[in-house]
Amino acid sequence: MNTSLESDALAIFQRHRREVYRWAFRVLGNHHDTLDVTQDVFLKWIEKMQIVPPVNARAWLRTVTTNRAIDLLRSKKHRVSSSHEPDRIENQPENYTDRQALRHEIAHAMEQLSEQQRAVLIAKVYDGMTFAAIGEELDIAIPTAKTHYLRALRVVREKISQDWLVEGDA
Amino acid sequence: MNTDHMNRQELNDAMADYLGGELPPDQVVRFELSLKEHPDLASEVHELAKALKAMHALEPETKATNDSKPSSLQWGKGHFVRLAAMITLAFFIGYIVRGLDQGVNPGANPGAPSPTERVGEETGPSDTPRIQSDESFGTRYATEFLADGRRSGLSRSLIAYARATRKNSTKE
Repeated sequence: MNTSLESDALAIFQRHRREVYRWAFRVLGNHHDTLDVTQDVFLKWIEKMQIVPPVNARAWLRTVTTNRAIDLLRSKKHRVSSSHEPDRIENQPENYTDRQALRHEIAHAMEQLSEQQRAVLIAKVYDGMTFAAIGEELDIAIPTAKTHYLRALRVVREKISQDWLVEGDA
Repeated sequence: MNTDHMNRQELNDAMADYLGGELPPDQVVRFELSLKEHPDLASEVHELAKALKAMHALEPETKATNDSKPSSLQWGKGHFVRLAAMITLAFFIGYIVRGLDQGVNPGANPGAPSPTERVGEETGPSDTPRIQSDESFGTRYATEFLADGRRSGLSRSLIAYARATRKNSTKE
């Protein structure tokens, strides 16, 4: 890999590394696994840059990060390790356990979605992007982005158990 | 503001915007009013909103993803409490050292008179400004602290410091 390409890859990754961490963390819920995924994504990013640099780096990173995080979560038994959970709430271990269980269910639901549906859902729910911005980033029409969003939400609704469903404010 | 009710098709079209928070406020009112006429759609919107809320429940809560916030926002209550505790401790140590500099040395001889008495003997009548100063809170605190504190490492350090200070002031 030539130096210019390497520094480009590094610069782009550094610009998005916090987002990469955040996307992975939302799926995984623990710091250690999130760092593993962030590192994997970085390596994949360098490989990708060597072959065909993605048109939209952010969209590519979001898709790859989410996929990798879901794969990792699903590859593990539902394990509640307590050594490194940054979102653990003091004196509320059951809270962490519940959150991890919910993560697994949402990850399972995400697996049922197409790449675009998943990308739209993550961009909308977790990144708070508008449908117009999502359409532009993913190169799809705004109505298509809305359709993907609703379909993805329906799948999530179907796949997560009633226990997690509390009254919404939408 | 258009208050006409939306038909089923319009409601379907607006559903994504409504759930995605992109429907303008006047349209939100219109959407919600219109929804009452279509219980099946209302139920769907309700269920999808609950799914959304479940997803938002996984929002990171701690430092893990807070690094994009300005550092000033990361100064939580704990930091201020620690800072306040450190300042208070510094003031107490200042008081103690000041009191010790004025002649408190209870550790030298367990059978000796209390520090206040010793200071009184050395410095003259009890109505002098020096004696009043020695009877101040700082000195009393230092006396009690040192009498109590032989058990703790911190107190031993302070006692050592007091002895050294005492020796120096005696030489002078």
